[in-house]
Amino acid sequence: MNRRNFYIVVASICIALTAFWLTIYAVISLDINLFQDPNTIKINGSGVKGEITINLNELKSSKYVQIIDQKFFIENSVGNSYEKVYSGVSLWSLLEVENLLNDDPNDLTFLLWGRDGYRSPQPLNLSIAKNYPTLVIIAYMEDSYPLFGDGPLRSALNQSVMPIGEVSSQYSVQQLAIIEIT
Amino acid sequence: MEIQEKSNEGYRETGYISEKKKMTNLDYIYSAIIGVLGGIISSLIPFSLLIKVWYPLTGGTQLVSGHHVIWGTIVYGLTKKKKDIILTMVTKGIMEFLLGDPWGLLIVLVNFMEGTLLAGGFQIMEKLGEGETKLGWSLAGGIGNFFQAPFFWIINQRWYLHWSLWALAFIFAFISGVLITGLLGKIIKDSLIKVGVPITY
Repeated sequence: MNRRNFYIVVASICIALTAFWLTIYAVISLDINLFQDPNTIKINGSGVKGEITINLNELKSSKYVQIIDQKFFIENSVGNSYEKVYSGVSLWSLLEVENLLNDDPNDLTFLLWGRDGYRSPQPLNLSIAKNYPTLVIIAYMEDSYPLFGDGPLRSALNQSVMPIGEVSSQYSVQQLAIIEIT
Repeated sequence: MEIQEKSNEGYRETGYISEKKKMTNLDYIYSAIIGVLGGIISSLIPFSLLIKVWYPLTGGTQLVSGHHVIWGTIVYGLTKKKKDIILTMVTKGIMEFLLGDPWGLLIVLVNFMEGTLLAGGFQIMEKLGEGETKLGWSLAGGIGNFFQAPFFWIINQRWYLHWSLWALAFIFAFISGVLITGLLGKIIKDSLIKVGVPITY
């Protein structure tokens, strides 16, 4: 091996090792549970009476309010709007049926976490979910087909319910894993 | 013995060409075909699924982002004109816009910037004497593809995400540029020339 190729190999190994260790560091720092079943969602935080894990089949059951083929207007950070058609379960219905909250929803917030380490920019007041139960949902279908790459679960919030200055695309968390209520 | 002075007119120039060349009709045709093809393929095929099934973190899909810029590399291989890279990328951007990209007209600017940086990458590699090597093409591809990760993460204002996710997205964008835009682009270019696609330099 000549010297040039040797340097190329060394540089490639250094970059690969950096990426590998950064990945490990990110998983540990963000406390990502790589083994959480993707078909489940966890609701936890100081605002609930106890941590609860619900699977996809339960979410689809008639126990909770199901939102079918609802149009969601999503806006991104450059102001472009687009439309998505999702089916899913109302977040408020989920919290209400399970009787999870230990305080008034006006005094609580919710933060959405994806399995991939992404999280919504800031906690939103839970009164949004209470006042607009059909526009804040945990979606499991898009255009009547199960979510695949972005799923199996994702959050969907209509732009109309967002606080001023916030865009719904950043709160449409794909691969949704945890809803933290504080 | 009579020495005849031979003219160079009958010979074709080979290797790195430094002087400016006019765009030919074939250059424009390549830009149009490859740009439109790139716009359709890059918009409609969900390459990110190749990563999502095994890599756990957000930003991992940058590992396949090189397919966005490979079209510029292929056209450069056939024409050796940097203007053609930019033209192809702008064509691809317009195609993506017409196909309803969520970023709207901004996607044209993104493609223009990627094309400009790829052209810049080739310019640097040629100055360093790496204009026709795999290393040179790989690094030029890495430079061309790197732009989109920081651009989209900044425009999305993802300040709230952990710094390691930012760093990983940038590293993956560069790796993808090296492997897909640069190396794979060179392999495709070589194959196209081998099967008889006309070059214009």
